[in-house]
Amino acid sequence: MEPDIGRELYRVMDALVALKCDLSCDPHIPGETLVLSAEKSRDACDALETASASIRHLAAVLNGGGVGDASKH
Amino acid sequence: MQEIPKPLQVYVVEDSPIIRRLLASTVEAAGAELVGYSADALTAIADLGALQPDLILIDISLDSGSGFDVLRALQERNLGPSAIKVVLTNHANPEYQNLSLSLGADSFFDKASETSQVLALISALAAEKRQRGSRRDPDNHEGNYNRN
Repeated sequence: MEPDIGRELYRVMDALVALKCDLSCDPHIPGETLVLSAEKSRDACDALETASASIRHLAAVLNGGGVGDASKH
Repeated sequence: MQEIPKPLQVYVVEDSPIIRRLLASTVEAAGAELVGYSADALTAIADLGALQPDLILIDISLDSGSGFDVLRALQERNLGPSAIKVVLTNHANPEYQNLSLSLGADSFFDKASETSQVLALISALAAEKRQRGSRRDPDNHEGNYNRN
């Protein structure tokens, strides 16, 4: 099934935004979370995983291969 | 006995679980209360009629329906007239901004570049509500945010 490319790209953007906020130590994030907690680290990893999966999905479709077909590269 | 001031109550309309989690953790860290969330317009409209939160964070692109549907329903049905309505979207263009504001949004933010401003706004509004509660000043109703 072809993905909705726009939707997949927005999913990547959402993941990157969340990752940026988690890693930026934004001054509005309270001091006790300045050192990344395990939870924040997991959130950041989840965001990376989501972004990677969406990009892989898009790349496979745009290259005419099936989902996850990265063997050509 | 001193009454404990009620925390800022926040509702999130957002289809991205990752962004929902980010907003929820900020709400919690700010001492506010996440009273609910929804990934689609119909659920949000039903919830908002019952919950009457102080702050509503609204994405435009949802699983079904849109943030515009939510804003329109709030406006037409006069649901949560005093709630602060903040739009946070990847579709940050003047057309969407104008439509959001005309449908009653108080602020409009670009998710890609202004999410940290929304996090700051949540913290500021939560602190303001706490202070107002502890001061018990009945004349001080106004929020301290700017309408974009």
